[in-house]
Amino acid sequence: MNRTAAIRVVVGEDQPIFRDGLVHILKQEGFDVLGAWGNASELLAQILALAPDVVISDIQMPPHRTDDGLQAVLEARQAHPEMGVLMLSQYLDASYVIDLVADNAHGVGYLLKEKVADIAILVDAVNRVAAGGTALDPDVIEALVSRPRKPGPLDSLTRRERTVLELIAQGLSNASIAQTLEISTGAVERHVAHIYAKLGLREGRGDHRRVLAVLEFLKQ
Amino acid sequence: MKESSGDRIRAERTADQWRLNLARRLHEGPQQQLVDIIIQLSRADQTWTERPQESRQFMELAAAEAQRALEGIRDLVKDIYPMILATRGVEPALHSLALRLPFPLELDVPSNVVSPDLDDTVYFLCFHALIDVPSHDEVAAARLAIVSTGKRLVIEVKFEGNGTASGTMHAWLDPLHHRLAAREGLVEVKVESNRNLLLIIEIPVAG
Repeated sequence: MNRTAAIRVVVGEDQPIFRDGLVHILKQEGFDVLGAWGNASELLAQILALAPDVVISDIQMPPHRTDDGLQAVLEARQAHPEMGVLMLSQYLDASYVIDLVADNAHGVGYLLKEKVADIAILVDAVNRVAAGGTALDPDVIEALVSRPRKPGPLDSLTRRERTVLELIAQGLSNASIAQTLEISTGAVERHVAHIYAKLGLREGRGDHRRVLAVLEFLKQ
Repeated sequence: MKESSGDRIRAERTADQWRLNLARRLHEGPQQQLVDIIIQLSRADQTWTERPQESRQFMELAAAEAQRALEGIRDLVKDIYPMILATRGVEPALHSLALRLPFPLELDVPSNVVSPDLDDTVYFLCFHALIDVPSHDEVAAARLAIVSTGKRLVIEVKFEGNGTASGTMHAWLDPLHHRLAAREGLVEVKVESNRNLLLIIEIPVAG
């Protein structure tokens, strides 16, 4: 990871204790925090003015407290399509995640709020979305993979292949999967090829295309 | 269909039962877990200077317990009112509900088949049909389809495998009847070939 220029981050969060904690952790980890705002309309104005590398924002925010944070970030992305976004939420719905990613998976992350307490997960997610990757909450992906379903191609995966499938869906690259599982990239590539063949998926170019393909499959 | 006082009393009892159930889940789940967290933190504080290793273990236990409490609250909130229903409507909300059921659910809900003013009604009808159905563990699979005939909205839920559940034991339908009374809708329960349970719910839609 190139750390010569710190990643410039804007934070959207209305709960003061959580906001201060998040900003503190980010600064501690070497991110350049440009500021934090607790209102979606202000947040939007600041993103447009500051053009950060990454926005980390709560989905539920004032003024309406529904998905104002998400709407503000999506609007800001129209102006800055290269900007990474990491959405935080008290609740995570798999179908929400899929819709968000389907819109444009480039540089999108989605984490449960409490994952911020696991600094390694937070830092990894920010770095990934900053680099244009995807970072989806492992718990949501796990729920999606292990939900009850009728017998189908997923049953034919080995345990290892299931694990690899989950990591793909979270947005990890082959290299990151290799590192996580402590196996070679070649071995990961073979697993991926087997998974694709068994599930009848077509090989997509680019990491976020394959995230989408896998999520679409898991959604069925 | 006119609502009798018997219906109203039954509706009230259903609502009270629902509240009691929520209160129990809060007491036994997150509330108890918060108490456990306080105790673990105070033990961490006690051991902090003399046995820091032990103190750290208590903090880790507290953090893990907080995690479980959050999960419990999230499940509870989803049962009260899933936020995805408010922000995205009935179709995504049903997909999300499907992920939490112990059996596979196939959904056939064309987008826009439900008008936004009926989102909540339709969602909670489906919710009660899917959650309250007896013999959950016998259900091998289920299918939920929503069609509109223009004048009526028909929700058809088919459960495979729990059709032996006595057709006369319909107390579980109370929340559905309660909701349907307000909308002048109706529900029909059928048992197919002694195996499948079929639920047909109809509500009139404003033309």
